[in-house]
Amino acid sequence: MSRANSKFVGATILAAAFLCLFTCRTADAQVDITGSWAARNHEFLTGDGLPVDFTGIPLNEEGRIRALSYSESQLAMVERQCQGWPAFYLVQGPFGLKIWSETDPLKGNVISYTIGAWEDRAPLTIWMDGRPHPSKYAEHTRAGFTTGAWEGNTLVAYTTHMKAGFLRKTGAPSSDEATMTLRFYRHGDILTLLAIIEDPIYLAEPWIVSRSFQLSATPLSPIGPPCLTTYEGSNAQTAPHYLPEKNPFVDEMTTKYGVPRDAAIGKPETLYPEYRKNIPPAAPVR
Amino acid sequence: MGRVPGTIAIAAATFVTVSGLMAQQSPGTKLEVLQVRPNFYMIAGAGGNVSFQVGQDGVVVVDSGSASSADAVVAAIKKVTTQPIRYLINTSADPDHVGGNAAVAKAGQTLFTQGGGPGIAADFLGGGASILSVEQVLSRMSGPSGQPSPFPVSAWPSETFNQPRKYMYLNGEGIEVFHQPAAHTDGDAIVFFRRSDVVVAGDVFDTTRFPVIDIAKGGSIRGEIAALQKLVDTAIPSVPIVSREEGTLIIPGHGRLCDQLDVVEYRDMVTIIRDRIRDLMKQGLTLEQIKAASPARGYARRYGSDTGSWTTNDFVEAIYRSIGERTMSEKLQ
Amino acid sequence: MRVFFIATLVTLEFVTALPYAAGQDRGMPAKAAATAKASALVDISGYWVAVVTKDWRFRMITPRKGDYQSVPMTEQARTIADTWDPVADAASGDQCKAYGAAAIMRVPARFHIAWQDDNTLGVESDSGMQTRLFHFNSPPLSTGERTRQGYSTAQWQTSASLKVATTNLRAGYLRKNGVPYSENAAVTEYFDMAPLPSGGQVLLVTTIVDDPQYLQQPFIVSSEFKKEADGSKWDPTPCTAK
Repeated sequence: MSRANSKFVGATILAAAFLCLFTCRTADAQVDITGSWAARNHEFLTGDGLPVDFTGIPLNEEGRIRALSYSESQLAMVERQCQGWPAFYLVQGPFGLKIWSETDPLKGNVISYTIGAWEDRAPLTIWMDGRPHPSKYAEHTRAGFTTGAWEGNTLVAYTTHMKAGFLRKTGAPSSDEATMTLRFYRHGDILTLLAIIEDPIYLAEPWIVSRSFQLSATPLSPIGPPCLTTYEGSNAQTAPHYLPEKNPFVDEMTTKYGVPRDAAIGKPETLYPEYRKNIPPAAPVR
Repeated sequence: MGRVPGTIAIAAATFVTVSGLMAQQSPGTKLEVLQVRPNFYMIAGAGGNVSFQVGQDGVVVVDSGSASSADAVVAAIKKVTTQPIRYLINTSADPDHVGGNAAVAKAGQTLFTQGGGPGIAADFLGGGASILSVEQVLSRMSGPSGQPSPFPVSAWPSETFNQPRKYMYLNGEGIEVFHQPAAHTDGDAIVFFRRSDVVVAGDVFDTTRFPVIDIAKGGSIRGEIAALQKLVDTAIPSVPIVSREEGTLIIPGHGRLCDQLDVVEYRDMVTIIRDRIRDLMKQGLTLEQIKAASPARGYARRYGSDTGSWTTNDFVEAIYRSIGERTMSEKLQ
Repeated sequence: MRVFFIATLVTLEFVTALPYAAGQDRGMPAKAAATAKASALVDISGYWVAVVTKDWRFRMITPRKGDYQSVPMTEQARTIADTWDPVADAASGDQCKAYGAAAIMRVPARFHIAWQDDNTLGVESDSGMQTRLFHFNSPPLSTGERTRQGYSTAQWQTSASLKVATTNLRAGYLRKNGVPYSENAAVTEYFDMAPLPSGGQVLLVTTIVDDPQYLQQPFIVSSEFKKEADGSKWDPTPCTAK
């Protein structure tokens, strides 16, 4: 190739690259989910703190028995003070999300998104590079293992390998066989996460729950505070719990809010409109 | 976000090995080898879990799996390292943990190769790897006097102990072997690799089912809970930086890799079921009535079974008898 | 040779740039197609049942007076809510105040979504027997009668979701125990779909209520629905004030 032609080709390539800055797209994301997303907490997700509040969670019989045996005194045990939550606390907890991405320095594609940690939730990394999930013999962590892919403008993430934990702090359990499909929908400055949580051990059907966040100009912390344990008087070789049919708080939601017991203990039929026909008339207005 | 020229096609997704935990299938078998630490591995699918530590002193193996998987276990170890197997430590006398003893020991070379003097031949102990266990394991494997031994001599432990703790220092770390009395059986050991920060638990901890408490072989619910507590006390979780998800790793007798919180879940499960059974016994219920009351509900779906060699009812009965024997023992004192 | 080279390069650039240009319009509508129905990126028609997995005690039963947890109400709104009188509401024909556009998707109900014409999507609820109309290719109304469901304009997003903006509302309740929204409230909703891993479909409705008079900040909630095969469980019931 002559020197003139070489220069021409080089210039053309540069021009093409320059043009591409304005017209070419990445091969992956169509929307940007990175940033600090503040929680708005306009919906009641974590439970009121009343010990038996499993409303909205479609527990099966095994899950219900396990939930009703739970005593929050377990949190006083040294080994459980820092136990934290599995990954679905993203859509359950009151905190916001700090999301950032890691890109391949040569190719420019996104290798992963990470949702930062908080004091009771580990950072969750969504691997976008096609890597497989680990062996069934691999360790389970709080955050689990997550892979993701784009479906149009929706990021779809799938999490396995989570530790056993809780769907709600009141004791609705999750097993180490639970999985979560998480979809990220961005609409302007609103990010809505739709979680579909499946647990063959404790759920009668997939638990479908969503939560919205709003883009925040104030950066959120990507890490949470440390957790220190201390002796709070719990005895070794004991585990606080309630014997079957002996949970003293089973009627508190009914007493305080008029919630029928079947709903408070998470029977799946209570999630659907037809259940309203079975609800006794409301208490007189105070 | 980065931008790439549209004329360049993006290559297929890069496969990145998850460091340390990528399972490798041994060809022709169902074994999976997981690298737990840089120098520590777990083999699943060989009956009971097999663990091994690698270093310049050689290989220390914990349990040998079942007899049918022995050759594959040896091959899997040799695929990782050419160093000789020096020690095999048994956590119990169960066939799925000691069935491969003969093959694994034969594939190794004892540390004790020095002649040492008159009357002490070189390569004494036969030359293969040493097999260490609690004394009761040798008793079970060798069988009572006058009866055929369930295992060949080459599979028997060559070194036993009956004190609470045995230790050694190999491959740059302390290795403690704790006798956990009257737990799964009367011959249980858990092995703690201190620098690797890995505890090999044996069958006192089994993520696939309720713990097998073999009353006939000296197991008890009290010892089982104590053994689980020992695991909890030995392990350290990822505090105060919980988000790192680090900490001591525990390899159960069967099932997946765990950490302290997993053992806490398991311990609490066993404790709660014990409490329920004890409460029913105090109410005067018979064993059949207690079984009918399903004291393991809430956990049976995850850990229980109605069929097989260890059912939910077997577990309930073991706890019942264990509590009953203890109660009787206390009454007689 | 040079001309051919340049022509090829430019053609390749535009060919690859076109899909990005189409997808770059975050929130902007795609090019106008013949009808909204024809240009629909997803099909949200059908029968959908609410799955109440959150705010159970605020949705499935009438919350007790004074229980306003999680709503960012202004003091003025709180004062109004504290005077809630469902008997009076029923007597004055206002038993449907909690079924207005700002709150209807939170009602535990079945919804039937169907095209009324090529540019109008209808959304009916069995509980409360309400009908909403989503008007495509239509500007928002600046005047006109205020109604319980207001006037809704809709547009497909390139993200395959449906955006609906509703104004011209009559004052109503965000919750059945009298948490108010004013007639100046503006409601923005996004309708997104997702498959269930085990089969079936989920409809996610994100609702944003802007009401500076009664809300300290936009009230953002999201509601989930599962698709049903047909309307066999359709059960029309009138509004109730309590």
